[in-house]
Amino acid sequence: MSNSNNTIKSQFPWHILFFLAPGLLIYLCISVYPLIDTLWLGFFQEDSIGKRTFAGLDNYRTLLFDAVWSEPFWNALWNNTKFFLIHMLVQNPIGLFLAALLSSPKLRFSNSYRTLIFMPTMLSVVIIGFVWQLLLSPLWGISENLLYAIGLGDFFDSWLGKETSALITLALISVWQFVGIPMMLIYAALLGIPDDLTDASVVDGSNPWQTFWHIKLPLIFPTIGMVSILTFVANFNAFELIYAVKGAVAGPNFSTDIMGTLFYRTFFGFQLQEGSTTMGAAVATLMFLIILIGVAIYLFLVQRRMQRFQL
Amino acid sequence: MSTITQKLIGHNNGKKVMMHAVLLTYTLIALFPIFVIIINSLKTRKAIFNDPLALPTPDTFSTIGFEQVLLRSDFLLYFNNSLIVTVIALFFVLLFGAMSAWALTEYKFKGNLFIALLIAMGIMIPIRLGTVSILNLMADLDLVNTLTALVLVYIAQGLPLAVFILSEFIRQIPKELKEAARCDNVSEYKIFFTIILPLIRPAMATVAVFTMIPIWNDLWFPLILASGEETRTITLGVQQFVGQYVTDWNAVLSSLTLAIVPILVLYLIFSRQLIRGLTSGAVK
Amino acid sequence: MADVQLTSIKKNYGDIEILHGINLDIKHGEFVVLVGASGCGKSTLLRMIAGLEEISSGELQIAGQRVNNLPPAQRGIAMVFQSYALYPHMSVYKNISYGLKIAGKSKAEIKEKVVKAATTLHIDHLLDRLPRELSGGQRQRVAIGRAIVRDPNVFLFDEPLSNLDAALRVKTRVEIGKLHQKLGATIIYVTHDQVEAMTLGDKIVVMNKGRVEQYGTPLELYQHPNTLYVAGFIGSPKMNFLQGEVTELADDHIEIKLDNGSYTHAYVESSQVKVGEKITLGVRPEHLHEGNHESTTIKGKVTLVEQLGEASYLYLRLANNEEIIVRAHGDSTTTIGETIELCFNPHSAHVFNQDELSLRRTKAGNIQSHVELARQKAEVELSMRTASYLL
Repeated sequence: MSNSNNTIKSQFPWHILFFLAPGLLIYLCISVYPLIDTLWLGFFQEDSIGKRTFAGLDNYRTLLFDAVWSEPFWNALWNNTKFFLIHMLVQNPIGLFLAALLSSPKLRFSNSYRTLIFMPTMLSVVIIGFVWQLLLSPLWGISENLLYAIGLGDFFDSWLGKETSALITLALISVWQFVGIPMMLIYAALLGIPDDLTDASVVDGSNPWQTFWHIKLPLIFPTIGMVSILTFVANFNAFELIYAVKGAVAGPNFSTDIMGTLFYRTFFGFQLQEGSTTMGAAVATLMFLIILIGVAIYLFLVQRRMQRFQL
Repeated sequence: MSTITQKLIGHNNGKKVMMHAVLLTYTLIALFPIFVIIINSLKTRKAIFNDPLALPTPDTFSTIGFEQVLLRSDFLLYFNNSLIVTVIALFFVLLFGAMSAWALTEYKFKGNLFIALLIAMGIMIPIRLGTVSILNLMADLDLVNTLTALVLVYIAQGLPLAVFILSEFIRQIPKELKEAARCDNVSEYKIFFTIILPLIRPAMATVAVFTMIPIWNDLWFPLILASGEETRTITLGVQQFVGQYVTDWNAVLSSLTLAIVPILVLYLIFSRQLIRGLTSGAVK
Repeated sequence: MADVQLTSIKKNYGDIEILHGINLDIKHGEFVVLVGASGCGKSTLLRMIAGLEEISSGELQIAGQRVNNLPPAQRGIAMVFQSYALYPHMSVYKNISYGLKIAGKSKAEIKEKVVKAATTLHIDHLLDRLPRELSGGQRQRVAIGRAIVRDPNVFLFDEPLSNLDAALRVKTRVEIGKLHQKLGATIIYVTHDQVEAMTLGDKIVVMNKGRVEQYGTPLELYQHPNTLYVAGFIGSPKMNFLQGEVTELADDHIEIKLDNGSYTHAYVESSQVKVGEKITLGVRPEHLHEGNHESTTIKGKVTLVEQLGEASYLYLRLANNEEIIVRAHGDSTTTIGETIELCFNPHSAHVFNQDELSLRRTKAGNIQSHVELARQKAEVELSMRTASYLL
């Protein structure tokens, strides 16, 4: 669409500048430049008076291989991966299941269910973290009593406090909060499937499960792909929940440490370690690479395999 | 014949009952924690521990928690801060986002594709990764511990998705509308502000939903850029308060309730628009 | 193949009744067309027969069995949807074989059936393609193929031609007709196009606002429409309706004075009307002729001429501002603005009373439309063939 005004007014398209400049300027200054600066900073080292010297890949070597630094790094990476896997295996299937139920034709109250189930997603992760911390607290005893009431009393433990169970518990809390998002997105995608495809499958003899598995599910693969990559990015960017419930040290014994908390700690420092801008930048760069790889894989898959079928 | 009929009818009903049972159960799971917190914020300390699941009765009713919260911290200030930051950032995200989306979809110029891709990348790459440098930048500009810093950061954060969603929408506006206006010699600025903007209102609603929630609930940037008392947002305020007064159950429960209830109320009022925004714009 | 019987079928949505007691008796092997304007309930009725909509009351029998509560797959039906409803992510082969796969048929059996159906429909070279790679006509054939492999008792077609362009529509219409001959299937076919109805149907059901206006062969509907609605629906261009008044009653006819000033008579049973009663006279455009060689004449001014080559349609305005259409000869030289005389044989006239019901005719009119002649010819052929088997 070429602009006819170009030849009539002046040669320079001022209006394009007017429209594009404000947003682009802010974006460049606060999003793009800082990111590039951070990536660049990762190649430097800082001494105690703030003087920076070029260090090449030293920071990264330290992070990945040095005894003191690499252990927290790989620990956080592995924890973050576990965090992500729990979301993929629990949050997204539950969201899919709920969406499938909600999209049943002639289901009464489906609007109300949707609105209510989505409610926790609205609240801050911080608040949710505290709420669950209280609920699971052995002092208050709510969850313990509830479990006893349904006969699983022996199962109760101070999950948030134990090294072996803290991360999984926090991951499940996060799943509890964010199930609404895959539910909504998949629900919308299911609604987009024309009714007469369902009719045709009914006439062909499918029961609702077969219709879902053979017809509907393949058609919403693109949405499921998108939900997956959104989960990936959100999980590897996560911070608030761990920080609110466990603080920056992400205990017990770093068992709840993920990339976000590692980044925070590295940058600002804590009891055992001084903060380091350059190492923080290096951690951030590694996080960037991890997310980039994930996104690249997703785009590659989307291009090749999952086709958006013309409905 | 009749047994087949009965079996089918019974089967159908049974299935429906099952579906409702599952959905009801999950709804309870979703609402229960919030419910427990709210009812206990209105009880005395003893009642909280004695019978957590009971509703407040005249005997157990107490607003002491709220009193403590309002006494020890300036919750109203925090709420105000969150409101100011969210509203202002949202306004500019919508305005600049629409303007940029318009410029990128409507006009052909060198670098158009590059800029569009650059902005689109921002959807996937979280802005937090550049925090080290953002903090330096704000320090250099003397904007640390100001709401301005937060607003600027949130605008940058919200622009990519806004531009993406609005671009899709603007692309669907019929060419004839714009061509007719140009034939009448209407300036590009006027076309944008008087014709295009009103037409993309539905998409703006979607963008508003996706922008507001992360800003209001964010902990990271208030913690790092604006942790001073005057500029504290409500999310940071709650986090600090609970961290500080962790043994005062009344106060803790009340502060959480104060943070939850306004959002819930807003959500229930606007839920239909909100959900419509989510389900229409996000499906790509 | 099976009989389909509908007895007092009703459909309610909440308090609103949209189908008011439908009765139909469809014999096996018949091609029955449900036709009517949008909203008359024909698609709803089809979906109820298929099992996609619940029957509020009444009884539906297929092959002698009550199927009201059976799911579609167990009724022995197959359906071809208006939008074809092909599964976008499956190849043509998979689309056609899906139902068989669900039913648990063996791979060999599935392959045999699919290839056979595909060959019949000339799509056997497309089996590996996806729906989006096919043209509209090809997609439609895949939809038909999917229906054929189910070996159904009844085929249900829901406006299958409405998504095709005009040329393709005619071609596919002919193919569907031939398919019916080949398979000998019971077909229930929904359309809003009366030409499709007349050319394809053994029997036509004209529906209007949730009711059956008339059910009969195309010939019956054309020659003896029971109501004003059916008379105006069947036949293109539409039948001309002239207002008039009964002036005299005789044994086998009635005398009529038309509001435009002409006098005519009609061969209907005079016991059904009184003198002075207002009636509507119906004459088809193809029964009106230029000139005054028939007994009843009308004068009118030509307002529009449409020349189609094989015929010309003249639009006239009469003295009382009524507008009529005349199917004139292809090489008629009448032009706009001319005032001309038209005539028709009273035998070909229909009379409708104020309740829009037709009066019973004592003598049927001359049949002159091509559709009519084709029908007659087909009937004669059929009776000759039947006769030759008996001999």
